[in-house]
Amino acid sequence: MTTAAPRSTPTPVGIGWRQPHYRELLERRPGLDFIEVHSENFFAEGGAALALLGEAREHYPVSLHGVGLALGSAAGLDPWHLDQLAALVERVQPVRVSDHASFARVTMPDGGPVLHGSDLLPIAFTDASLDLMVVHVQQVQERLKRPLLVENISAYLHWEDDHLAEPEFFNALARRTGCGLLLDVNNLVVNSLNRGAADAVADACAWVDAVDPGIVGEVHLAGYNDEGPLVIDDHGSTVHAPVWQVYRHAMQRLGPCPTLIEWDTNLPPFEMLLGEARRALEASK
Amino acid sequence: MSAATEQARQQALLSALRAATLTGLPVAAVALRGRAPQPPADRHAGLQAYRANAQAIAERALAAAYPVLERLVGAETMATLARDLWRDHPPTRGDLAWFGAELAAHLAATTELADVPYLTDVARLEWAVHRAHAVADPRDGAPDLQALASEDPDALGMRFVDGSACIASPWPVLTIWRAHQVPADVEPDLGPAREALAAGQGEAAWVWRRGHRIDVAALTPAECAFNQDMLAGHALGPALASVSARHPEFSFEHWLLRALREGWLAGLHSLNQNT
Repeated sequence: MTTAAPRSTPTPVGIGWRQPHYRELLERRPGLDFIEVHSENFFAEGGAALALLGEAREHYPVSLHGVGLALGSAAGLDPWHLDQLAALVERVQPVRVSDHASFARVTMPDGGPVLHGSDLLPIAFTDASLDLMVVHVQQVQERLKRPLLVENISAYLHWEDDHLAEPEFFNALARRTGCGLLLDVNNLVVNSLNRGAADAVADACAWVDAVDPGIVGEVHLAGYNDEGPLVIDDHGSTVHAPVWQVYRHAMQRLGPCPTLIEWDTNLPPFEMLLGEARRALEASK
Repeated sequence: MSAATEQARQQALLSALRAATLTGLPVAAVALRGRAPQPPADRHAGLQAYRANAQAIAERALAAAYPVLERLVGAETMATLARDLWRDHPPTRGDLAWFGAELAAHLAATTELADVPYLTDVARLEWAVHRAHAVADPRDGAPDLQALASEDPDALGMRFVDGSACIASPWPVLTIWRAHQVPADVEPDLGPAREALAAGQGEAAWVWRRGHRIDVAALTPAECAFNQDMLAGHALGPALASVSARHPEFSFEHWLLRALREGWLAGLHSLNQNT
């Protein structure tokens, strides 16, 4: 277990860099410690978007965050996907590479094709699922020749035979592969709310306390939508109050840890996104 | 528990998400239940959340690849097309830029849209433009064409820059596409497209990468025939003979000047299997 770094060290704060803000970031060049992009958006062999990423890379460290590796898929990893990611990592030399603890690739029954669910579908927290994740994370790390960060997801369903607590699952995954955890605080709160926890903040803080702080390599903050029957992790608004509370708790425990504001739907004016990044820096102190 | 169990549960969930109704949840060893403290009648909320997300993802991905088509048919029809494609041609890759490749074929088979037959070719053109964005950047400088003077044209092919495509249509596909190259809040001027449709005007559109930009230009029927032969990997000699027979006005010299001026060519390649 690591000790928290001295509080005088500022937390590196970044934003998710999405298409409507491509130009504005490059023109304004705000003070950010890093930017993060979705890896799959830059799988092209060339073109304008990739050139802009190259330009951004000259001014900011870039973190590559994938949504499609589907690390928990029993059907295995897609060699094509891994090839594209490896080429992008080689090109961008990112500060971090991450994806999710989820599945998507499925060999359909009766000799059907391998489909990709295009979503972060919930893996089971079982020994067999952990074994699958270990194999796939190792496969990615060997290919990329660097450690991977694996993110905890928002799950809207779970499996009756789950028998490993989620933090325990990530602790074991990190221990067996050397990977890190991308701690998504918003996902913790969304899951706690959907579980009907009496105190979602306390529930999420307990999750943070159960994970080995030494494995956390990055933190994500985002907004959720709580207007429907389930709370949905839609990355479409400012960070909600309970998420800030859990984040402050996490920073006390973890020390300065690269923190990202994710905003993917209903994108706000760029200035508002930067404002959220400033709030994260304040909250981390 | 084993990997087979994981495979079975993952199959069960994706199958349930792809099923036409929300009944038939996977049960027994891989039963699912919502996490929210909700009444039993709402216990499918979790499954519904994933299905709603899949629909939203499909709509966004399709609209991103086919912006002109979306303006032509409207958001509601586009959403229906996205749902249909998700069902009939689901993604097989984790990169959604590939989703929607089958839209033109799907449109051709959609009887409800039979009264707007040009949509199929607009979709072909948009897919060509969409994919051209993702190819490797063309090399700077003029292509090496020295072999034109020294090699047997019957064993010589021409390579276009990556992403090049020729869309030949009995409809004024390029005029329609161009009319919609205006900002989303600007109403397109469809006058020229309507006139061309009324006149039964067919068009051939040429798509290619110039730097980071995608260019789309009209080809004459002769240029279209020749470019299609070159794209198909045919040899220069027979292709020239073929196009000259069908289009006596075709001039290779003029074609080559245009191709060089507009940056169509990547180079030449030998079709001789021994080299």
